[in-house]
Amino acid sequence: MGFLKKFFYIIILLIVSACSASLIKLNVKLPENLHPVFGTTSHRSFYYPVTLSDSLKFLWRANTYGGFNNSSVVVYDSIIFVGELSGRVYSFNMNTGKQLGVIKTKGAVYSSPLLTNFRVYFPLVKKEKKLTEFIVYDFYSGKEVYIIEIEDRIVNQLMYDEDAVYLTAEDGTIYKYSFEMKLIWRTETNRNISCVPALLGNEIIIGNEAGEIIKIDKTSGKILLRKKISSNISSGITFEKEAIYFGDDEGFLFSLNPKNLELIFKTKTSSKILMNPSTDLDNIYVGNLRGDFYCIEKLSGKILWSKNFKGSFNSTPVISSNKLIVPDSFKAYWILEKTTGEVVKKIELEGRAKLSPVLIDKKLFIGYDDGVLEAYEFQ
Amino acid sequence: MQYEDFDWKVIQTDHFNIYYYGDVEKIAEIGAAIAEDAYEELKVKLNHVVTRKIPLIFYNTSLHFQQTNITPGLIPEGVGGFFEFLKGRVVIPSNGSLSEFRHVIRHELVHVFMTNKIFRVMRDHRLPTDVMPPLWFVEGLAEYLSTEVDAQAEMVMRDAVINNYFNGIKDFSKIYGTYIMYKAGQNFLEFVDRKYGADKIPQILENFWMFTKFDDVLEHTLGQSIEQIDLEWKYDLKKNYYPLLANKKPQEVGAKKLTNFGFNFSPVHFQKGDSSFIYFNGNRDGYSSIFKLTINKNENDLPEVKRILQGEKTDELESFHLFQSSIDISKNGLLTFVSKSGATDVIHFLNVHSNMIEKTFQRDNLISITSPKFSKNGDKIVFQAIDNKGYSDLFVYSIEADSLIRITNDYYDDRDPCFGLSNEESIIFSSDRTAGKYKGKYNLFTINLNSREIRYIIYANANFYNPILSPSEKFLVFTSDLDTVRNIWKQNIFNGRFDKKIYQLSEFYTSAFDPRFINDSTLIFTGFQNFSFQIYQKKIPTDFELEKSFQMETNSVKGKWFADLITERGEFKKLEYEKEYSLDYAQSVVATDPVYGTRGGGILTISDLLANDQYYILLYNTAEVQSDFLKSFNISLTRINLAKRVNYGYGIFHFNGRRYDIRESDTYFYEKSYGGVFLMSYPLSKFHRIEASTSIADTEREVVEGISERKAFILSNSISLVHDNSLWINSGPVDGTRWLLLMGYTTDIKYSNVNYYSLIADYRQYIRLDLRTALAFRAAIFYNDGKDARRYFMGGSWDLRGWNRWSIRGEKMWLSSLELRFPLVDELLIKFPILNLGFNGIRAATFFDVGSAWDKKYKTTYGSVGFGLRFNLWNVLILRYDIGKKIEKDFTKLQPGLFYQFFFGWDF
Repeated sequence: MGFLKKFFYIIILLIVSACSASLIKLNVKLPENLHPVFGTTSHRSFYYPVTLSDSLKFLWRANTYGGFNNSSVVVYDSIIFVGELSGRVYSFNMNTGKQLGVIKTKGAVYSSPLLTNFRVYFPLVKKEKKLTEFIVYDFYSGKEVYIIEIEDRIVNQLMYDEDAVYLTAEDGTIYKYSFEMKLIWRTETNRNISCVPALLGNEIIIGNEAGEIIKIDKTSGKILLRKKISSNISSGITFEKEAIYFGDDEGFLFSLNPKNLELIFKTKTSSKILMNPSTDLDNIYVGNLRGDFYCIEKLSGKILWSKNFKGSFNSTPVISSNKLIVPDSFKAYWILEKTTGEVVKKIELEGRAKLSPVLIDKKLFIGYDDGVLEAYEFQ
Repeated sequence: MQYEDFDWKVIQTDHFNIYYYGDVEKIAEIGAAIAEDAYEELKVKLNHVVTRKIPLIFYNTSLHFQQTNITPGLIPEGVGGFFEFLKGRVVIPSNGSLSEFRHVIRHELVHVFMTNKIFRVMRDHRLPTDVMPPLWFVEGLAEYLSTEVDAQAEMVMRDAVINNYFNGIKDFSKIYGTYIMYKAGQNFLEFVDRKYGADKIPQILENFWMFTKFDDVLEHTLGQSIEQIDLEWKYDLKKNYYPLLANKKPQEVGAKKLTNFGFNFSPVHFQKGDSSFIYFNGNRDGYSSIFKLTINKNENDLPEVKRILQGEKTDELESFHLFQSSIDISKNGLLTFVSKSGATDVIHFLNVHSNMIEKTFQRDNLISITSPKFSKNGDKIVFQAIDNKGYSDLFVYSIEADSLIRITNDYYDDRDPCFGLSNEESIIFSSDRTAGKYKGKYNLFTINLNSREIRYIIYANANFYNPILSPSEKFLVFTSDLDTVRNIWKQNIFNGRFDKKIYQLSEFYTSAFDPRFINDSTLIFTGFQNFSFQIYQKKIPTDFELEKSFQMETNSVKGKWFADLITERGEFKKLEYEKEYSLDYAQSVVATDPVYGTRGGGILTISDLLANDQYYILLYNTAEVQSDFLKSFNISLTRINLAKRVNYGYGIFHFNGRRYDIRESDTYFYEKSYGGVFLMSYPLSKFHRIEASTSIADTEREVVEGISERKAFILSNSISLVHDNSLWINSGPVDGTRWLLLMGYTTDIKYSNVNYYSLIADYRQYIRLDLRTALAFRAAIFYNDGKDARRYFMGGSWDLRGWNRWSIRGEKMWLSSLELRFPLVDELLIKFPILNLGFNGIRAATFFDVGSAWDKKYKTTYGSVGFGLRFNLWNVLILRYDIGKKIEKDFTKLQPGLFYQFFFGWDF
């Protein structure tokens, strides 16, 4: 009987844990640390001007129910949020890895959530339909504030500015919503989009499956310029004042003038580029699906160094003042010397690296297959 | 069955563990390099990496590949390799052609990547992972990503579309599992690539989680309704293939058809006086055989076909390799052909006058042999063979002297040899040794048998096969895909030199194979048309009548190409094979009922990577009350070793609990027993095997609780001889014979409570009346005699029909059945307002059963007669419904009324 009792208790425990409440309710203040969106800002910056040591200490490991897309965690003060493909958004304590809450929905969350004004914004892609629910959740009060239905699939990263959120649908429609979920404009670009868009100043830049780069006025939603550059652009856009950077399916890395979309240079790599190129002050860092990783001079497009790895690169690396942290789908995050590409350290994983790493206070947050989230600290 | 003792070794590379044996090392190193290249390509094309080391198991030939234990059961000829889902193992034979080896490795790796990617997608979304796209997509994707459209793919697609038996997505069910399904799936994905973009193909897999129906996944990814996608693909197919009819012909129009059903290959002509014959091999009734066709003087009549040698029924003629090997005949009537016999292929020489096999050639190191051809005077043959290394090379055999000379020895695929011009000792052959800009194409070569110098006869950007000299030696005829599919071409020979211009003799829209001469002006050949291979005859036009020709380049090509080896890059380790066991299968069950309470158990099997060593573990508990829990454990552990020709197994068991043994009584009893078992099976050939078993068990049986009724320490031995060469269709066997002879002896070596011997003789013969109708006969006797002998039982749908299932029991039993099996309804479609119901292949049988069972004294004879229906449900279950009358009262009276019996199971 003892055995049966234990068995019964375990079952009850499993049921209880499976039915735990869908809730994130956090007593937070205005943040010291804020990493509110994929790429820190809407123009996508993966550069952290900090110097990292060679010594890395494991802090904690946590699990989510579903797996991750190639997105990243976002951070609000000392709390990290992450969305996953079984339709849940989790919050964890940044220092301990303790789960603080979870929003449970049915569908898939492809994008990194957007954090602003004590709210988490995330698009939930539904199963069996071409439908996305755009959910706004107040994590201070622990309540859903808005849910709107969009008859499309939002599998792309979000953008935001001081008064609105921008969503890019798979079929090429761009939406601008106020923070109160009022549709401000909607623009059809008429070609499928899998490219991560970027926003800087008054302009949104996006690439599409026809190999076009499109510049859109963020106030009106009007297409300002549309230019055929390549055969297919699936990589993310990294948008700086002087240039926009992106890769294409043929393995070219492009640098365009953001004003007129004229080509500054294009550099050939060995295969398809899916990630956002990362940039620091001088160079561009980009990897491709063949597993080749490049350091390219920002002004000339000259390859300064390149290195081949076992897996492939489709999540964006981050750059510090002296190091690169590169997610490799063949079960590793690589820490490389920025100037030479020399391997400083390998973080070995039990699955494919999925999340683009995030650095906060010298703490590193990574994620890989089966929804495993890990935190490390540079000593 | 496994003839070889493979000494397995391992090469470890960046992404693979390559398993190989013996002399296959070079081919394994080449295969490893191909696999690493394919991995790099697929990780980009499918945007996915497989993070485990993928096990690739290489064999040197199909014959060795068929001996693998990784999949249970027989691997049919023509299977190029397989990916096994349970442990993700890929098993591939090299078969001599590196281009085909490359194709198969890539094909199977696409399966690995696709299944792994779908698993990851479903797992990431926390959805059930045991789902797959439809088979046409799975195989189509593997072909699309592993090869380009070749002459064979083009041939089957042209044939299917023009002859209207495949027309779009809805027709995939009609061609399920066939080669055409692979190629049609490939064609669909090439259409998707062209129309919607190559990036849509990995997206189909990425979107797989979104919809339950695969059509919805396609609709969403491609952005159109499935009806529209289908319409546009159908239009694309017709647009591509219908214009071919403007200047190309079906074979029936361009040549005279000599056979009209079945699959017929490799015709050769023989003249005997005024009579003219064509010999060919083929499959016209389910078995591959050699046939003779007499050419009629009246050209309008279809020639008479007679079978002269039946294959696949005896150990000497296991298989004729219809799709790979051709036959030849000498002027004096010696027919040479290849068959599998035991561990290797052999070459037979059949005297067509006496219809007797006069000589058989076999060498242990030549595993797979194809296409022998006689020299002009018939004293030698030249043939292609694959050796232990997996190299496909040329050999010349002198028949009288019984001596063999190896002509080539390298990893190039040398094939289709024939003797060259009479004034020089040379061989003409096809080979992929073509170097230069057409590297790897199968061009035509000649090799001088004295100097071994190899020269090009044809150097072109196409494949050339089946060269054969005209009887006058004025020209050479061969097939080539210069015109996309394989047509027949001709090359003139002037003063012993092969002309640089070749002429196209046939312009069929599907392919022709194996052209042979009747004389300098008439050819016979095999043609593929309307999904069948038939023999055709064609007049050879003069050069003036020929419209199409091809002028070859005059540049001479020197040097040769080298295959990439894995030793030149990445991780590379050579290791000895060490058994690592992992789980194959595990299942547990817990059951509760009001009488016996809760009981539960599980079964699991583990094996090593090559599945040579297998363990079966059974554990369950039958306690009815808590106090019985410990003593009610039932456990058995059995090890089966399949590594060598002799398969053996041994195990131990402990069984304890209430039993119901229908052989003994209708009541339950309590029994505890423990002991061990030894099993052995030795295959004498594909069709015969010896089986033996020994078991020892200490048993104690109680009918009334607490009172021991019988204690015994039982030693049981049996030995049996089994034969089976039957041919099966969808409800059971229709041709061949099956029989079993068993002798056994069981004795109680401690208490002398049990002591009996056993004899079983069970004979079944199937006589085919036409292609799908057969008369089946069974006669069996089961005999146990001695102290406490066990009973046999019968009754029910599987043996004595009409009688209650297993109701007739006795220590002695005999049974005989006669059954006429025939097709009843091939296709039945019932239309309802909201759905349609379809039934295919409903068969029927009339039967007569007779038998009896008794212990000491013969009691009565039972019988039954009737009619039954058989329906094959998804190839896993045969539903059987019988109606008839029992023959009762010692075979003197038919039962009043009818019996109706429904059950499942194959025909005997």
